[in-house]
Amino acid sequence: MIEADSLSRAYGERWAIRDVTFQAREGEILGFLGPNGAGKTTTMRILTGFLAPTSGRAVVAGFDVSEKPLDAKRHIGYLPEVLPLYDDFTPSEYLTFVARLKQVDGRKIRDAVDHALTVCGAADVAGRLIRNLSRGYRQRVGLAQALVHDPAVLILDEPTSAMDPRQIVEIRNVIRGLRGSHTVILSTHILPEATAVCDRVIVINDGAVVAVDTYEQLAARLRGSEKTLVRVARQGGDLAFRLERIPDVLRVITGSAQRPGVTPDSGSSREMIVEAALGKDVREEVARAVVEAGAGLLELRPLAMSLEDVFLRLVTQEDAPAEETAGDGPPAEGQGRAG
Amino acid sequence: MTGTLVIARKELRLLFSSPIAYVALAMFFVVMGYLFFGLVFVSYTNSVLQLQGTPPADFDPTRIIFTPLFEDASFVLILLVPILTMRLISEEDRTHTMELLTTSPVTSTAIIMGKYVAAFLLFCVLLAISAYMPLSIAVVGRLDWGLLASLYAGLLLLGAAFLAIGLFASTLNENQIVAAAVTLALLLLFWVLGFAQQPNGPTVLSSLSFADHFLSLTGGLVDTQDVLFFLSTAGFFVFLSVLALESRKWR
Repeated sequence: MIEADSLSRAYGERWAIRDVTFQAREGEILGFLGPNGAGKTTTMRILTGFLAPTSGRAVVAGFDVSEKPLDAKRHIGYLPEVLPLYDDFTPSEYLTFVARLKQVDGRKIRDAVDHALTVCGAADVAGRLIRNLSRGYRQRVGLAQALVHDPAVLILDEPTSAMDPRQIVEIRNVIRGLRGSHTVILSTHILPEATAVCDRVIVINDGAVVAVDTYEQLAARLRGSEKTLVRVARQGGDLAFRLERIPDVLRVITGSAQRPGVTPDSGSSREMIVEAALGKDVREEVARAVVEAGAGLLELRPLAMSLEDVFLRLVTQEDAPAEETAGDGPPAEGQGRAG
Repeated sequence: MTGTLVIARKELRLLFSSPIAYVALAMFFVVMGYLFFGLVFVSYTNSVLQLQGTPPADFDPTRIIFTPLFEDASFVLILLVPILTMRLISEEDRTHTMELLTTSPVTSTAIIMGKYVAAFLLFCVLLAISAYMPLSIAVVGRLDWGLLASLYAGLLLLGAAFLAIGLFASTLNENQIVAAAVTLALLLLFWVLGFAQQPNGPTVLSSLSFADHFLSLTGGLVDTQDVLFFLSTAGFFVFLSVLALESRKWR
């Protein structure tokens, strides 16, 4: 449905994006994730035909954006980063104008406008001047503008910025409701949003695509091993030894090893992280070993990488993301959860 | 074509919901009304007093009142047009609504033409209302309708060219003040271009000058050369505006 084929864009000497390639399948919600200035907006502007790529090709709904711009644009709904609103219009007037501009059939305009306003939850301000609306409502009218002609492809640049948490949930529900019938690309720097709404995530950093995958697989790929946090009531003498003997367990990090200088009998020494080979679930064996050692099992849970971890890993250490060595201190996720 | 109309309609609606249209109309009518008053009660009255008896065959109130009035109107336009056109594109840039327009299924030509049509229609409204001046004279005397038609044609053509220049200036900068200043400078330049004409030299400068072409129309002479000059100037600057808008994709 959306195809970006090695898109590059230069502003003078500086490259905003380089060789960005990805596809979005029909009916999919694709998250565009990256720090500020990574090239998210530039990529979206190229997909919508607002900017021409320096090289590369963008195809939307089967039409090359550079060669058949009008056909492609007919199928795109676009919510720019800065809302394109006319302050002197009311939301209904504004949406009627947009519907006409997007060539909605004259008889269907009224229904299309009403529908878009209702879906985005802006129906109760339909008659007020846009200049008097709160930021949250302006954002909704902006989203309604992208939806009004029921396009096959929606490109949303930070759709939930400047909204309060309740409004964010509402807008996310609107976007989730589009799954299946619309292909959606949304950019965000709010990480939970990507996990909450998107089927797949594209991580972009410094103008280049760092990863394209589902969040779970991204996390799995970056994780060198399966980590399990074990917390016990008493530190049994041979517990660590028993744990290390379990097949597929690579190593055991105890609390004191994690933070040198902490005495073994302090609280943290009763916490340890068991690392097992990727794809192996050793929790059952770990539980048995703890019980046999008489250590008193308090907690046993797998340590997943949060999206923040994945994201930071991707955009900060692109070169050697997966390998972590014992000498370099604790792994990021262990620090976050067990410390 | 529909894109042009949709944008023109929106533009007119926005023009009349902001104070700019009303300020421009008011400014135009205050100045024009004063000039008209002066011409009728001073120039015309003086020439009638000098007649002493029946007027000769070539006595023409239209030429005494309206030819100078429309010549002065051109100066009013030089000040008025920048105000009318400064926001056309600049405002869309400032509010980022240009991103909506250029990502909609309309061509750059349709966007520019829509803007131009809207500005031109507003200008036509201005001229239509100004018709009260000749009509009020027509009630009490006879008018030279041919000369009057030529005067209006001249002002329409001049306005068409001026508005195109203003539109072009507005595509250059998102700051309205800068757009207005550039327009004013361009209009003045084109107006005074003929002043540097050597009496016996080549006529390049005077044939590019708005003043020279306009003055032949206000004299009652509708020459295709002048008509074509204004139309092609308007077309040229509209074309430049389309190019300026289209080129932004590549910047």
